[in-house]
Amino acid sequence: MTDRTPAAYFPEDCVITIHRKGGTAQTITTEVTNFSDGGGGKDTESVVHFGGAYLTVKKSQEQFEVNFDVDVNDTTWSQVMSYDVTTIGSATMVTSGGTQLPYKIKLEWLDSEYPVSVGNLPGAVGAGFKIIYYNAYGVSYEKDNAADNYLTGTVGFKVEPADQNANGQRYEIECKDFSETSGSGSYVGWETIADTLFGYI
Amino acid sequence: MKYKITNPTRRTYIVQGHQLKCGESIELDEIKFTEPSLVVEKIESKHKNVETKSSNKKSEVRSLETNGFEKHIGEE
Repeated sequence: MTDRTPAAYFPEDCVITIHRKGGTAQTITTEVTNFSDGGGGKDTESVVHFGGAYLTVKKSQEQFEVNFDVDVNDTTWSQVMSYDVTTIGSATMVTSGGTQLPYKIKLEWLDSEYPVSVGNLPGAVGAGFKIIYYNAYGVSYEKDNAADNYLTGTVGFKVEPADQNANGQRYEIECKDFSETSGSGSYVGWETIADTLFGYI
Repeated sequence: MKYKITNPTRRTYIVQGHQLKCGESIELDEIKFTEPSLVVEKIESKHKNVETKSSNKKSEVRSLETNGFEKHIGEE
């Protein structure tokens, strides 16, 4: 195994997909201008005792927060907030008040120095890194259009650290060398297993 | 029953493991999703009007003879 992890991953290495549960995955890569991942903090509390003793109390983990700055040119992001959608022919209407449906969000960086095609990684040359959120719910969607700029939006999702069965819902997976087949197979397979677990097929 | 799924949008969809770029179509034996943006056509029903069973309140079925395609829309 050779460590082919690049010194840095750049935006051109990244593919971003969102997948509504019950729908299909769609790539939004070229509509995103910024991505941020926050939250998920694990705080501790110190309880002082007599005799100079301290007890550390571990607090529950905070929700993860995922935010995208995006170009707005259709109703995709409104659908995240309210899936009350009607489509007739080429027209689509999204009405507020609908339910928020869970999404799988995936960002995958593949080393552009050794380009590989997604879905055919085992045996290829290169390295990859991906962050996957399962059951992310849209919590905010703000639009902005300055007179000297185009229509943009900021979309926020929140993800619980684990589901009701304590299955972790945020994955980070890396593979240092796709040509090493056991590793690259796991890189692909772990996501497939999680897709099945959470119902994103 | 086979289904032809067409992507009329500018986005790329990944339909049951198959990449579907803008304007591309794919044939599947089974559909496991509901996606308003994708056009779904029943291939074996080209010579008659068809009715699609759907519990979806917002589904739409169009005559293949009059429109040349059939579309399922809506949500679970």
